[in-house]
Amino acid sequence: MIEVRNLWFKYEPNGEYVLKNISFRFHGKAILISGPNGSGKTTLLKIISGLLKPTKGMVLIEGNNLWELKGKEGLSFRRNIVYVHEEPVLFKGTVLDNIIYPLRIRGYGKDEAIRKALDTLEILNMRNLAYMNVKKLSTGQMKLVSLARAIVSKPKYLLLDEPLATLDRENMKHVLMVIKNHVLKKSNVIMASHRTVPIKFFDKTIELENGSIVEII
Amino acid sequence: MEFIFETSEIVLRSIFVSGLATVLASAWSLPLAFLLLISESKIGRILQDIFNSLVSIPTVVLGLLLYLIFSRSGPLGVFSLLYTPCIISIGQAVLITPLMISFLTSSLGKVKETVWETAIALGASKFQASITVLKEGYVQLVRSILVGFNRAIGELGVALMVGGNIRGYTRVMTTAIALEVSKGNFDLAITLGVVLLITTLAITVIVRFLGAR
Repeated sequence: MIEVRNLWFKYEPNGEYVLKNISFRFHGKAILISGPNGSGKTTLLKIISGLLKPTKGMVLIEGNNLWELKGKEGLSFRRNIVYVHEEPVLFKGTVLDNIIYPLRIRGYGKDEAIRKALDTLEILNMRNLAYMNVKKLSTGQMKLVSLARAIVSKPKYLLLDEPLATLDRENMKHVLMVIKNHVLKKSNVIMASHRTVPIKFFDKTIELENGSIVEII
Repeated sequence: MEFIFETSEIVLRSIFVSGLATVLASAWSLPLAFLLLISESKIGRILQDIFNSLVSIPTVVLGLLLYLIFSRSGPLGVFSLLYTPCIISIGQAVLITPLMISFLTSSLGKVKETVWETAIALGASKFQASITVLKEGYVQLVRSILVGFNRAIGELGVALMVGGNIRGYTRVMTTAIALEVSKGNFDLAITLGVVLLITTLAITVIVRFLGAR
């Protein structure tokens, strides 16, 4: 379960709050955070994932505050949460090099990591791209590789920031299908999107505007 | 024959002395730059500003400081390093340290902005994320080392003041050029000038080539 409690956030000490008194609880499989650009969706996801520290308030994941867990315990717990950026940042090398990365840092051997990575690529119908240099990928393919890299370690919580942005209709349907048929079987998904997404997909939708919750459906 | 021998000796000594200076500077500049890069403290930012401003320190001022420190009556005079190739390397290493740190923090900073957060978001520890940033930024690392070497081999003030320009011992390309011009011996000065120019130009081309990758 994820609980966001009286969360306030600002980037600069003298700046304005970009998130204002956000509170909600989530214990379903999928939640959508929607709202226009600049409404605070990305900031909220980054705080939940532990990339940003709340200015006030807290985020509790299964009762734990990420910022209070230190050392190996903290790292081990943080590895349950994977955040996927809106703009995919792929590391130098091949698609496979990128997809084995989360497994290698979790201590998997190279052979096992490659096997799991190829399985994940198979799910995404991208096995043929495994040995392609990431420089040669289209934007849509980069986005899919970024998604594959995130789901390969089967995190308990997967935070997707605008996974459908810049995708054409076909790729958008494909990504939604992968999330529905594969990702949701292993992970709980928190997705931020300013695009219209099939609502039946999500247990809860939180509408943000100017850093505040305007509606929870 | 003697001309060729002397020229080669000076060129090789210059490359060795500046190469050693670059190795020394790299040994402390690379880790320090990386620490500054991942540090989010105010002290880190202040240190970065200090290194940025020290990039343009006049070489004669640094030479004078090193002279005072390493002269017989200076605090490190006991090591008797003054007028040795070693002190030129140390001096050049100190000279290029701010340049390398400044270059690294700005160029690796751009890599860090994207790569670090992605690595952490995928579950990497801070150490693993650091290694990833270094792997992704190895071109910037090599470029900073080459830029440092270029600055070291082309400087005059430190080599002249603490090296003493002793023939066959501490004479390097820049000090030899200065001396030969003052003596009116333009043949050796021009030859060394051309070698120095080719060396620095070649390194600049490599740096630009790496930058374009």
